[in-house]
Amino acid sequence: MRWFLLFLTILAVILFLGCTAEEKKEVKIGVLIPKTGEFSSAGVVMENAAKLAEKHAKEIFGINVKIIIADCGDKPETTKAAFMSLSQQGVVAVVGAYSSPQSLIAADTAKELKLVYIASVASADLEGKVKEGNRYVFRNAYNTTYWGVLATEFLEISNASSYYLIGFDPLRTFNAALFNYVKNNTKAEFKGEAWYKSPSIAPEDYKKAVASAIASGAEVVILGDPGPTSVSVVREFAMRSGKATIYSVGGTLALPYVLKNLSVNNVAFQAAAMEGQEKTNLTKRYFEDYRSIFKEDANNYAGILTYDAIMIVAQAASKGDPVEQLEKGSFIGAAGIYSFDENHQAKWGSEKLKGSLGIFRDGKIEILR
Amino acid sequence: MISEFLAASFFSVFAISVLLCYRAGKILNLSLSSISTLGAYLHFNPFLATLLGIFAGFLLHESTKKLEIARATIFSLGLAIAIEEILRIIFKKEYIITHVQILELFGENVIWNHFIAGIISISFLFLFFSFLFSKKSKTLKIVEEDYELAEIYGIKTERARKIILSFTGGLIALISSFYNQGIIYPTIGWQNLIFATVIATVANVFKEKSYLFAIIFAVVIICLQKFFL
Repeated sequence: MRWFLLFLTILAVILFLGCTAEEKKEVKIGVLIPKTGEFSSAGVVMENAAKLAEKHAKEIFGINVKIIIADCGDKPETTKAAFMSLSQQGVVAVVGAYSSPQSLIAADTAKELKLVYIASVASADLEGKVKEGNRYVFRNAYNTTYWGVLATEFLEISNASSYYLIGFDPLRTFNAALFNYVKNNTKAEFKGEAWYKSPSIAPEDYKKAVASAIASGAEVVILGDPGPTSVSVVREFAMRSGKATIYSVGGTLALPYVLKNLSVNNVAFQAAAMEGQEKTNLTKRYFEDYRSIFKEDANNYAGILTYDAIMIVAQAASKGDPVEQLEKGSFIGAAGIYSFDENHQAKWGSEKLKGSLGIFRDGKIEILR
Repeated sequence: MISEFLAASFFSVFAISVLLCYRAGKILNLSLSSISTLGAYLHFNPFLATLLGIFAGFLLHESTKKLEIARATIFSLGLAIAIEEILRIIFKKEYIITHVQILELFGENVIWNHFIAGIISISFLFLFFSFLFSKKSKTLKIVEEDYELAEIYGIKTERARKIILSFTGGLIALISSFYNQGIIYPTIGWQNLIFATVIATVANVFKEKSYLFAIIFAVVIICLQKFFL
């Protein structure tokens, strides 16, 4: 009888533990990834980063996160459809999407469905949506102003006396706002600007912009294209023996393996965080685990910010109502510690959350800040 | 100006391939985008790229030979996506950066691989127009006009279509394995196809002279971009 009672007690303990483990709430997070279309290259890293965030949320925070990925393509209408399909699968929030038009429609859909949306890449005017009463949209990526802040800081750090702007036409809204900020906030002399079209419309157009930039004699060329054509721009610049430092808004030109293989000196870039920095306890793990799992250098903007957006939602949802938590709390990410201002924009530029600047010189990347 | 000339020859061949598939193969061959991407990824072995390009063209022919033009075009889109996804699975990386060698030609720096792609393209254009101005080109013209009429004349239209789709697949894979260098990513071929299709669409208005106008448009558009746009 005594053995039987002991057996029953052990069984009860096992069942109890089993139940508590079972009851550990699953946090479902929807992720909008551009798996097809113009931004599908970025989609690959966003998806990788999202999977890593799911793993880390369990291992580091003990939060049982389940990510559900939906292909948002490269258009607002496909983004809306993907958002709606995620909402039907019981997600507590949706993160991701790539371009500004996509994030704007995602913000509207979030309000319609009363479901939190965190824009993790796009720099569109989402603050305006919040001011109009949309409480469900947040952004952990930079806003356009902060892109300008970083470019202006780079001009100061590099003591540049003059600069030239090269814009990418498909991202005209984003680039124009960035350029305006720089023009209004730097003492360096503005030497001119040129724009090039998408290679689908004009395959050789970027060469003309490069020729104008070299002819201007500017010390720094600010390049607004985060995509793969920026690599062709840098290569063309080197082929024409351009002497200026190229400052890239990041993306493709912020990837260490791209810079090393390209091997063109004096290419500067911004990133949300860089390998070798320890902004939080997640920074190192993000870069190391990304490389060990996906066998390549971790993306340091679209990837890391998608990762952080999932971590933010996981932390907020585990504490209670996501909107309330996001409005008042602070959250650990790989790029820093996030909190949101009254317009639901992550406080980039604050003490705990700052972008990084780097430059490729003599075969290696130097962290400038 | 040399690099613009090389680009124009590459896009002329691409546009002519689109036109050939459309006029004689009765398909708007969207899979040429991914065949171009395939060529770029297999830059280390252009021969293999060509073989796989031919195989993709052959596969497209076999799968669409009984379909009308709209359905065949949709199938070619499916094939394009399938090739793209296979490349993603195999190569995994977001971008592949390849080393490019610079060649100095008449005082202008030109990418060596673009030069090779240009030479192949110009050679093809020369051979193709030699064929077009020969008596044998009547076969192509009849096939372009009407399949049923061609069959009456004793032309095996299915065989002609198979050759056209396979040949253009192999050719695009080959020239892309040289031209699409520097940075390679899964959607690189779409850019080529979109630009080539714009040229082909305009050239197609000129019916029998469409192939010649494809070259003229490619040269004019690229020169316009250099000097005016």
